[in-house]
Amino acid sequence: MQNRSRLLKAVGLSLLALAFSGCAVLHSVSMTSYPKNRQKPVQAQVKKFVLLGLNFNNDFVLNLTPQLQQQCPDGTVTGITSKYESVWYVFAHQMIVTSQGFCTK
Amino acid sequence: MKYTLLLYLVLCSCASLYHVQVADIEASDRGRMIEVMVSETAFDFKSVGQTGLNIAKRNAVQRGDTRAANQIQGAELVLALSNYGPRTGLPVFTDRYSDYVLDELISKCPTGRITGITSIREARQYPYISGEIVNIRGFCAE
Repeated sequence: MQNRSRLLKAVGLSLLALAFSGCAVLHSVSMTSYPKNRQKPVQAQVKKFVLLGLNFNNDFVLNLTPQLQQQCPDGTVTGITSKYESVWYVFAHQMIVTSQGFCTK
Repeated sequence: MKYTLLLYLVLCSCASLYHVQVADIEASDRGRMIEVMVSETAFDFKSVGQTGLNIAKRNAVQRGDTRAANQIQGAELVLALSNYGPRTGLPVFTDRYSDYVLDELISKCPTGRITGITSIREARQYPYISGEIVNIRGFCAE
């Protein structure tokens, strides 16, 4: 009886771990021309958690540019690497867009 | 109540995001924001064909018509082979809808100095139909 309860607990914990660990999918990577001066890196990331695949717009992406601009108010952000990935859980997934670049004066 | 919810789920579109790219940002001279969105309607022939074949196959099996059921299996194979391979979004009849994005951007920004361009390839999906969209947003430096 005790062994069965332990087994059930182990199975339950494994299922819980599976539910919270995600599979990652890389959708796209793009890059702009790299500057010679790469002293000041900047990075921005936007995310959206989608339950049951019900996503009605992709407006969260538009916050990327203002985030990068805030980190480089007096210069040019160049050498930008943009990556779009998603992490899949049970019944839900998260969309993540990351941009890394360099602030040059 | 449940039918209203079902109708809402059918009629409202689900958004898919395929590709995002951020171009260089001249942060000191952002100018005004401009946006160009072009799209093309796509039909999900694979799903429509599969639904039709499933109905025909069920009818053939119920009638005991094995010859018709085999023919439908052949049609399923043709459908599967003609939809084989990776793709972004649903297929459209022409992809020229994205060719005029640059012209539209320049018409909205006559100076031609556009910075901080975010390019988004996305889709709005309805049952058996979708809008395949290219959305470009940037800042026009005056």
